[in-house]
Amino acid sequence: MSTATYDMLVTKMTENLGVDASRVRPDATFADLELDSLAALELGVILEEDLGLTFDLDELRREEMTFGQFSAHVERLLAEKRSAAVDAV
Amino acid sequence: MSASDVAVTGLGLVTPAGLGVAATWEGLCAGVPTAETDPKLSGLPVDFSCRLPGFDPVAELGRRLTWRIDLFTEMALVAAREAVADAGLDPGTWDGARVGVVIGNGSGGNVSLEAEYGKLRDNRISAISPLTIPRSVPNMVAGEIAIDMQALGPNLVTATACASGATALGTARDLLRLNACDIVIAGGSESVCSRIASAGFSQAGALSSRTHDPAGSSRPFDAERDGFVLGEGAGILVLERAEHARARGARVQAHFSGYGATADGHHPTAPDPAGGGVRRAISAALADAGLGVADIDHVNAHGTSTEKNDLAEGRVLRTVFGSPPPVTANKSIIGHCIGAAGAIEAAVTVLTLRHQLIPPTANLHRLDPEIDLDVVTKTARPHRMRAALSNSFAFGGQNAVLVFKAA
Repeated sequence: MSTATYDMLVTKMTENLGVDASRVRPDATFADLELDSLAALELGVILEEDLGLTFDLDELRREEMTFGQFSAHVERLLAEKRSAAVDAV
Repeated sequence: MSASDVAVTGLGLVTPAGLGVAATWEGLCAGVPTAETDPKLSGLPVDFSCRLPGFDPVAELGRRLTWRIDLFTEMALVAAREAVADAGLDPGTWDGARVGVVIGNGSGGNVSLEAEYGKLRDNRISAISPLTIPRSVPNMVAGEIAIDMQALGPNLVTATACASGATALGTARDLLRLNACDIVIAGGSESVCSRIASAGFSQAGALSSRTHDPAGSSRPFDAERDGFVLGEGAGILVLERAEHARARGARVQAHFSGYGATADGHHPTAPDPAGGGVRRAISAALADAGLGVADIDHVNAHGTSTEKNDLAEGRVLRTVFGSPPPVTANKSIIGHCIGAAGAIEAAVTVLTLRHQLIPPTANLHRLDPEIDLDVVTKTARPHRMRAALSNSFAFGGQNAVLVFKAA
């Protein structure tokens, strides 16, 4: 699994949260990545700031969510944001 | 050595003079000031400071840790790891319940807070990091050391501004005397080279405004001094109950024999010109150590380079000692590291006793005619020393004086 969004998220995980890049795989859960709730919230804030997305914070706290699912979720949010922008035009 | 003595068995330093104990000692003995123009302070009335040379917290600690902590915690962790290794201790095997942590800090994570406050001002509330509070509360530095080293005994932070590091050492010493623990990782840490700190201290008239000559700006006891210079760093000492150190065959670097703490009760920022609080602190520290003034062969002065501190300190030393022993002021080289200063200078005092060598005070070209002290200048001075004082005084009027005896 490698999309631009996925790769961008890997960079955020390693650069901002110090997660070892070799551990970031699509099937790794947030728990596997040792991301506690504070880390997940920080990730949410970073993505809100950088991508202009709004996250459901409870969603981010779900430890069983895999990184692949998270990446797909972010992609969905980005697509919605793009179509909203088109609608506005 | 008396039963109540506490042993210094490890040192760790992260200072503008160098990263690590050896580099800092070398830098201090070379006597070259570290103050220089600080791009972070650009445009402010005082735009220079003493910063760490090439400190790389990610390389030292890993991003996994650094993403969640402020600079003052990073510096303390690096210094604590050095001190514990220097003491020949292994956090993997020690009885963590008997290891305490007491760290002095003046202003917490003001570097982080400044960044987050910018978002608040711009009304970007959702962009404010959920780590804002854990990164910036002062006590986090002691908490992170506990996590890092599984030091699970008493754990606290002392706040007596510019004396915080010395207060932490004295408090740690008391915990050891009470047998509340066997070992305390004690010291101070401060990251205060922020725009708000520079602006605030300069508005209070405390900082040198020698912008044309940053290197010459921190000049304790000199006739042309005009204020202190902001510095940043951490100093950590491993303190141990003497019998615990003896039982494990630890190398004792010095004995921490006396602590005196008083308040001026005079003024929020100015020292008491009569020096009553400082005099009582020195007397208390000497009595605590069972020593007289004739036993003290060196004073590591608070020596901030402000007009009032240096004058008051010079007068008190004259009054107490009659003929004071040689004095030095490390702030001439590394600036004023606020909550870390007392701990860094205590570590330097231990090194001074160990090496029987007093590092010089930089920038002292003409002694203030109203100050009558033998200040070590230009080059390090070999000197026979049995015991030494380390002075720290604070905004707020708190005074903390430490007595160390050569091992």
